[in-house]
Amino acid sequence: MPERQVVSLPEPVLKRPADLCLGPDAALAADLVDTMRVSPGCVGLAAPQIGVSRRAFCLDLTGHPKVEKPHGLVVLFDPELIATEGSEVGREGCMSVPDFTANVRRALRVVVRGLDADGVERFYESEGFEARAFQHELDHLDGKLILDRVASLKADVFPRKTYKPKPQ
Amino acid sequence: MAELAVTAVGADRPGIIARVTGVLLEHGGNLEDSSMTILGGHFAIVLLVSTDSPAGALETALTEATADLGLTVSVREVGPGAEQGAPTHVLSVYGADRPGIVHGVAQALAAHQVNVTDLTTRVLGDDRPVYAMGLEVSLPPGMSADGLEAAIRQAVEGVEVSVRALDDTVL
Repeated sequence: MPERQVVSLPEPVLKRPADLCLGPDAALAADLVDTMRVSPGCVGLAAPQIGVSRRAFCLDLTGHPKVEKPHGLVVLFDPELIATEGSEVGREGCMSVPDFTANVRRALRVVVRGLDADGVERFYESEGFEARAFQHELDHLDGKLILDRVASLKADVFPRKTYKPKPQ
Repeated sequence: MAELAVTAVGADRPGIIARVTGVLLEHGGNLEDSSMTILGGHFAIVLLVSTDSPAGALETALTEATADLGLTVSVREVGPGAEQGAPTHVLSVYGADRPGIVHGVAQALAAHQVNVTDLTTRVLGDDRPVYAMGLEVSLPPGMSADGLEAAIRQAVEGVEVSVRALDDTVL
């Protein structure tokens, strides 16, 4: 499957609650994973980010310096957050909100349930930055972006990234 | 279309932004970038606006429209901005309040070709005030976070320094 174009704001699909998958979708899973793999720095991607309003995402925190025990590649359909514990503010960047990072409060530990690519129900217990990634991707399925989660601009470090001057 | 730099500063009160941006809109202005915040009870606006209006005409219009707000307004045409690297590190520096902390840190950064992309300062506490700086910086190739920390410690006495790398992970 070829990689897909990642859509960014103000694309309406990003702000819409996504529809249930009601079972695994191999083509969608392949598109998500392929697109994540070819996108620099990308460690998680939700279906609405490739323009598909379905409840599915992938993530892979393997080798990430802030993740001690990553689960490797995770692909989930119709995932649900079933337990959370603690909370912590941390920085997140999103491919669909370019040139922007925000400090967002998330649970420290989560349990997420969903169907894997074979239609088998899976439970993931995750913590730290991987738990943050799970919550970020789950947010995408509800039409929520980091811009909807920012707590305080002045108190948080909230940089703009590269500012490109316009051609004169 | 020219790009103009607009600054406006005055005692804080509700309605300053609405009044200033209203005048910009009437002059066909498009806000390209802005920073607006309270500095010690004064509201400070710095923004870039692209518009066909001449700088002088816009400055006059802003000054007249905000006369009752007591703003100090300036409008100047600016040339093209520099192509700027993304910040790579976040830096905090803090210590007992005294003159020269910002200058000392800034001079150390400049000497090492470190570019500051954002800087905020605060005085914390009343009895024994602590001066705190938060910076976002872009390190030149070959300079490490440890190297930066050492350079600041060496240049400025009696401050705490911490440097954190920004990762470029996206989700």
